[in-house]
Amino acid sequence: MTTPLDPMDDALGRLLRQNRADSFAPFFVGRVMTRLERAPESLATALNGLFRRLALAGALAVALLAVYNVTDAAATADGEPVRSTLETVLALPSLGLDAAVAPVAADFTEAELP
Amino acid sequence: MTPTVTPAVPDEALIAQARDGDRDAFSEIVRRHESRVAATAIGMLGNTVEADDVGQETFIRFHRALDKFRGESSVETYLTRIAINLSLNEIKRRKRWTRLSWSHSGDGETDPGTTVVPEPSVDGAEEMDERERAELVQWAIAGLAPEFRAVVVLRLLNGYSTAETAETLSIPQGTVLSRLSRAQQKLKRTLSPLLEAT
Repeated sequence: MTTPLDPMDDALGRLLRQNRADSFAPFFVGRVMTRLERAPESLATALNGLFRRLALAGALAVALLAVYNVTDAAATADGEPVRSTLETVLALPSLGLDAAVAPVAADFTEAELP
Repeated sequence: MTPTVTPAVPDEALIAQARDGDRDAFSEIVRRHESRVAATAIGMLGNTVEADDVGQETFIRFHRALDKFRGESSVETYLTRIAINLSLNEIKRRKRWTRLSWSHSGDGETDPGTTVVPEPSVDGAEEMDERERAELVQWAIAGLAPEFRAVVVLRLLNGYSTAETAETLSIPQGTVLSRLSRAQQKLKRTLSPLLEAT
């Protein structure tokens, strides 16, 4: 490693500093400002705006579907088992133990049994 | 349009004005710090279109980051950091696309594929004018591998301390010193005619 007191190092540092580029081509400031005006918004900013609109539209759609499910459930409730509010809002089918087991039992028909 | 700022206005005030959408304030920031960014970008990439582009992009990114800039480091240091990172990215991009075969020497400090500055056609140091001397210096710096060049640009051209250089490049101070030492040795060899003339 060269010593920092090496006079050649001083001379080199001086030479480099004396000959360093201090400016870009003319009208650099103008080029930056023009590019700034034309620069499209960043991807993150663009996506941020897009997702905000999408989130709003999605929330509206969810609310509309929930209202539809509630009104539809009220209209067709006659004779059906009572469902919870969540089941009604999400339009989930009423699922009891019989309903859960039934498809499994149906798979084993007598014809398939040995 | 009459500028609304004067050189006496501190950077912090200009940034506050620029945050409020004052274009004159931001153009004053660009004007004020062009030389440091130019020294960094041109030092790293040579006097090329890419260096100019990196210079512009540096200020564009700074403008986008105005709201996040807390003033923990000076504007100059912040801009230099952006410029050096963009320059290193540009060098990586160049390396991906072009692999130039020539190099100044085979000592491992030269990185072929990153050097695009042609050797200046200069015979004697005493005959050189200012432009030729600057070209030769630029050529010598361009002959260094990017990691050595970055240290030279920050430490010798921009005058940052070893600690600041290490922080900017995210490397240990010992690495800065060893890279600087090797780069200096190579530059002294390359620029010996100029150094002997001074």
